[in-house]
Amino acid sequence: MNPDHLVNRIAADLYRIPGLKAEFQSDPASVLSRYPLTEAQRDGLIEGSFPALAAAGMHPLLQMIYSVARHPEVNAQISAQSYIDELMAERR
Amino acid sequence: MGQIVGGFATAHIMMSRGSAGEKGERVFAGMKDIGSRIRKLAPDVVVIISSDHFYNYDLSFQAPFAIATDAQHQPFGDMSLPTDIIPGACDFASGFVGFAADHDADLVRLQDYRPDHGVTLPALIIDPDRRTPIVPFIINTAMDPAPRLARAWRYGQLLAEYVQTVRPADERVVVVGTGGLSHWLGVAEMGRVNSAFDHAVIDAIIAGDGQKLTSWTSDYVLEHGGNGGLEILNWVMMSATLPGQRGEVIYYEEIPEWVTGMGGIAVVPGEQSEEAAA
Repeated sequence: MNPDHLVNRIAADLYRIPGLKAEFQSDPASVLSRYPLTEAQRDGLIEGSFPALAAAGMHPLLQMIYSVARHPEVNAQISAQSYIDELMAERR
Repeated sequence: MGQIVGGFATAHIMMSRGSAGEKGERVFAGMKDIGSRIRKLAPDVVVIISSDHFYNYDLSFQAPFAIATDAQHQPFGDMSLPTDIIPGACDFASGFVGFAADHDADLVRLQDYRPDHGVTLPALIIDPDRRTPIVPFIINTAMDPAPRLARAWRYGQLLAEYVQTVRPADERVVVVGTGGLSHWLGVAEMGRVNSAFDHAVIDAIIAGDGQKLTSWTSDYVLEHGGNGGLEILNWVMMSATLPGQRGEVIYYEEIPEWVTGMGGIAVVPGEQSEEAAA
């Protein structure tokens, strides 16, 4: 498998394989150890910054969903919960 | 014959309230205005043209144009969006797959598609009560190379022709292109907004001249609008369903805090551009 494709596969797997994202958030190194990554790729995915993910070969848009899985605190920054609540309040 | 009674375009994200100050509030008000306008049009079907953000697609198998044909859609629930069922329009969507094939346009049928924010947020704005059938049409803006804008225009033409020649008399269809405008994601320029690019897109479409955007290459869009700016494919396809029709800006804000040029427009049937009227 193309090494970049493997990195992208991991990002997709986190949202496809039931329970994997939660397991990853609890122990990212354990989950990543199941993939034949290079050491540099593994380090980049553990760090999880956009430059590190790019260097590991991850597609820019997959970086977005991977970073949310790796750093759940990002969710608070991007959550539109207040707006959504207002829209939901308009339900009849 | 059916009729496309309205075309709209809107951004399909928002972020935390307060993080963009009054700009964010104006965007939200604009989105709600679009929802209200669509409800007043009393559509039988709303086609939402959007992108998939890798919640359904991956890079193993790439489909440039696809349509969700399920009778019901189960949202993915990203960005804290509600996951209750969105009604679909199986007959409408399946019929368009066949119509496109008959016109040498390949259109992938999506089954068990789970709408992400690109469809779910607009759907919530359009109809919080989940009564209006929604047809997600997905343009793959993440593939490399991305589909050309001229191809999005062609699918928009076909959608209009399908509604006008195949669909039942009096069926009212609204088309909504979502996403954009300029934004750079996961790259060094993330946070940049190019309002000149954004206004060029908006101005062309509301002047009834969206087709001129098809002269832009994907490389041009990537340079001036960013990888997220490729979502103007969704706007251009919408524009092609109402060619020559003038529109109006509902909202536009540069919001670096949300890493996006946020725009919303309405295209009003019956108000022709000067060129189309000539």
